[in-house]
Amino acid sequence: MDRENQIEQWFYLYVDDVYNFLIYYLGHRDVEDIVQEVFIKVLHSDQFESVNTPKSYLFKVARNKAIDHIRKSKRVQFDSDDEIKQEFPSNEGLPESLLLAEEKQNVFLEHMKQLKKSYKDVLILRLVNELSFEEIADALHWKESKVKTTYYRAIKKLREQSPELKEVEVR
Amino acid sequence: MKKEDYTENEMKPKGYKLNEARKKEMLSNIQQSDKRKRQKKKRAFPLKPTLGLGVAALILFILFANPILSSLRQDTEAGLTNQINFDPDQTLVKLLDKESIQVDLLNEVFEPHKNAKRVTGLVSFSIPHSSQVIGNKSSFRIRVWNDHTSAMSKDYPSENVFSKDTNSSLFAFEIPLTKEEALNLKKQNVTLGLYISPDWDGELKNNPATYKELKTDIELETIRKELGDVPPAIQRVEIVQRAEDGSDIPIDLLYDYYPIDSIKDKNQLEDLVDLYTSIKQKQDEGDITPYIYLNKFQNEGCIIEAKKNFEILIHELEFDSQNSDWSISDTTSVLQ
Repeated sequence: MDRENQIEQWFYLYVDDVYNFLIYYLGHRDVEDIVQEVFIKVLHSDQFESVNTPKSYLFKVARNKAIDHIRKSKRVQFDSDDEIKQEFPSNEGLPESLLLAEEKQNVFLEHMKQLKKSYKDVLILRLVNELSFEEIADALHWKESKVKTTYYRAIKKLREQSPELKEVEVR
Repeated sequence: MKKEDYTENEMKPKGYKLNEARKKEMLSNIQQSDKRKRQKKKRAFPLKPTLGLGVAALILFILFANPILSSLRQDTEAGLTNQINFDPDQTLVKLLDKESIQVDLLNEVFEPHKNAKRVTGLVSFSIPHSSQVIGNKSSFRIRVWNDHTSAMSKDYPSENVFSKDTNSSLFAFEIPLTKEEALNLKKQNVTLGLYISPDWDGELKNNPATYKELKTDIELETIRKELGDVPPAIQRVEIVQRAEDGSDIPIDLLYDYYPIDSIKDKNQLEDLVDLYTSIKQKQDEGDITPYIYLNKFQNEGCIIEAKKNFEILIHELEFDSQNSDWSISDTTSVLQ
């Protein structure tokens, strides 16, 4: 398979995963440019062809990009309330089922924002991206036992702070 | 209890999807960027010299190269001397000072099928990062000795001890002992030494990189009596942590610890006390008294048993509310 096809196959396989990860990590939907940057960064890193676990590696890069983005945003000193309003466009005209789904997602997303970073790391990779504990450990450079402990503590915290999310699946 | 047993209703955060047109656009941008990068890389190689350039370079070389070459030659000679004197294993010995290595005699395990004992323990390293050290072909051995006997572990190759990305390591070692060696080791304090060598043929020629004096079982027993055992709470927390790590059951998250005295007089837990007693009665000498963990409704939990051979048994409990009957639904063994 030539490089171009390989990139295409890789891109379609993981683009939505990276997209979701960044939305939940950053708490807004304006992440398309960052998704693109993540893939470019991976291709430029020379590890594209040699990396054994591309999924974990992609999330590693995506997380670093997200952290960079947060740093830059802090430098610009956005008003956080304005940012949220701006990032979630009006729901007018959407069917009710979509609105309800949207609302649930946003509730989850809002609670994510209140969690500490390590909890957010594992919860998003586990619940949103459905990575195994092993893959998460690989992406975060943590021990698998630390991932598990952090994950269960994060779930506990999430349930405590948000009764409406009591049904979050513990996998 | 398996993980699935505490799975509740599904409400996974819904996923977002990029629209297909945007994906195509992004892919095209990514591929273009990749092409540009690769072309840049190709261009980064030196330009092919033209004939004129080549001649000019040759003249300049003849004019100026000699003094540079002679200094280079000196450097190379010095480098070669360094290379000859450089012994990666000596470097490693220097890097590993006593404070950077922890060698611990953890346990002496009896293996009935072999009718022999083995010493097990842990060595942890922390050295300054050096690829030369990590890349060398040395191997490690642990030796335990006193005036009466000496026993040596097998080789632990450095490439297994250190991974490429780390400058610290932790490995477990084992030293098989005959009955006589085990008895002799108990007679007197022992020393545990770490040896590093590229070649283990023949007798040990070098000194240990580090060593540690250890007490015999008899002395340890005396010290324990003087100081008291490890505080029970710390011991319990450590055991539960090991049980969690080895089983995927988040015990501390799901349950609370209930000392047996706190539930002895509760009618609804009478059957559980019987179950606990039956487990305790089956324990061998040296095993740690089991712990009871229950959820806040006191209708689910586990009993954790720590054996003297470091095995932990997690007995998961099931409660039949109609008959007020407790039973073990599953037992998980953790041996780390």
